[in-house]
Amino acid sequence: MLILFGIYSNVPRLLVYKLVTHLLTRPARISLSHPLLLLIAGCLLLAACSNAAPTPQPTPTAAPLGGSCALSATANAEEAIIALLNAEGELVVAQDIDPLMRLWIEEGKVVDAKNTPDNADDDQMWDGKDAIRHRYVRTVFPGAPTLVNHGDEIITIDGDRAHVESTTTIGDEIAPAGDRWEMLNSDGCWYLASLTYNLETAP
Amino acid sequence: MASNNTPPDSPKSSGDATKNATGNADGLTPKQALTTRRGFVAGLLLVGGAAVAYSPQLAPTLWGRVESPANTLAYIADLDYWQRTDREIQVIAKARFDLDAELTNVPLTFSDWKGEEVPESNQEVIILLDPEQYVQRLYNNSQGQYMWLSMIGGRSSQPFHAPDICYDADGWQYNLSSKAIPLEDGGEVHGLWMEASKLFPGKEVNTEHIVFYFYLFPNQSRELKDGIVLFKLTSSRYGSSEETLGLHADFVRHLFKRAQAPGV
Repeated sequence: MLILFGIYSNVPRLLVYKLVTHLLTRPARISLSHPLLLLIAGCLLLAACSNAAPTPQPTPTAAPLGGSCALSATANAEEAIIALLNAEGELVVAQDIDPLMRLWIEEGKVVDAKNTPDNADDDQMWDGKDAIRHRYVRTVFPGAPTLVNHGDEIITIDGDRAHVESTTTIGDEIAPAGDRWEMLNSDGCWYLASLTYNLETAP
Repeated sequence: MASNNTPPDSPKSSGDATKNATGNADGLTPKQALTTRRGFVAGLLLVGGAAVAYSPQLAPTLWGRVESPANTLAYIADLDYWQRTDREIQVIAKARFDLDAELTNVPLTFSDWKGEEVPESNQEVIILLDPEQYVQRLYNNSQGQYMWLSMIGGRSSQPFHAPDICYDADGWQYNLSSKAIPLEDGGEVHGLWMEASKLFPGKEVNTEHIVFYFYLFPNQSRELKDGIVLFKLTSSRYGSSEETLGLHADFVRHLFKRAQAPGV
């Protein structure tokens, strides 16, 4: 047990060695109040109390930047919004879910308009970041898209809000003006707030 | 005072029954005996103190694993089994939800709920999912409300088709979100919340299913080989979404008592 203690503390091994040697060379009766023994036991106790191998304390780290602020700097809001959309497409292709989710606000929504833009009754919604994440992981990523491009953007900015109509190309599939994005500006960063897709009417 | 010629550190053999005048079996003078006894007590205190001081560091070595703080059934719960989400949490359960136990041991009766096993009749499901364990139960309460409990366990990704994908493929319309259920002893467990509806032929009103589900892992490493269990509740709609959530929450709270940050 004492040797085990020696292993688990910073007590010099020499001390333990001396004790063992001493015990082996001394006659059988050793008083447990022997000064050497008491010294070693005291050292071991101090070593234990000093917490020689402390549990690492969690280091406070700044939350990763989100939205457009996590991307390369841009000159104006319009560029930031386009960069945000491009990043969404690239991160979908890369299937990099954590940075992808940092582009979204907590209350984000994705709506499948089911190609009936005038009828909301048949819409399907992923409400909140958890659900959006689930949609990416379980519905979008399995398709393994190699190209996601949000082109032909028509951007309307109104204060802290932006509205974007875009044509999305996913692989060979093109949805002309099929997507409507809403963005929000918070603390100077633009975030994805909602996406409504399949807005183009069925052929 | 009687004395003997035995040196203090050369005790008689344990088989020697001769006692000195003080009745000391070791043939020590009272002073020697007192010193030895005092030394023994001091040493015992030091060893005991050292054992207490070192026990946290030695426990994993001596006993092979770290006991759960609650010394009960601790699992990792999360919304997904692929990668950790922000909702990952450690839950303290009231029953075993790991593949080293039989999931059928989860209580059939608790509080106002009484359940019965309803084995999966569609063999295609079993063939497709190939689960290690598949438990499907129908619980009822005294209000006449029902709750399906599905527990699917496996050590590969094959058994874990996201429920919404299956509902979608079967023509249901659904909305997906997430809900947090506060537990009795603190903390909350998050699950995905699906409200699905479908109009079946010959029916005038939609059939509605409300589904709440999350995944359980036996440890934080979340390796497939250690097994994963999908915990899924399905009910009809009882009043508003919030009221239906209340029913699901009541059920969950009888099987899980606390949630806390993993590793606490």
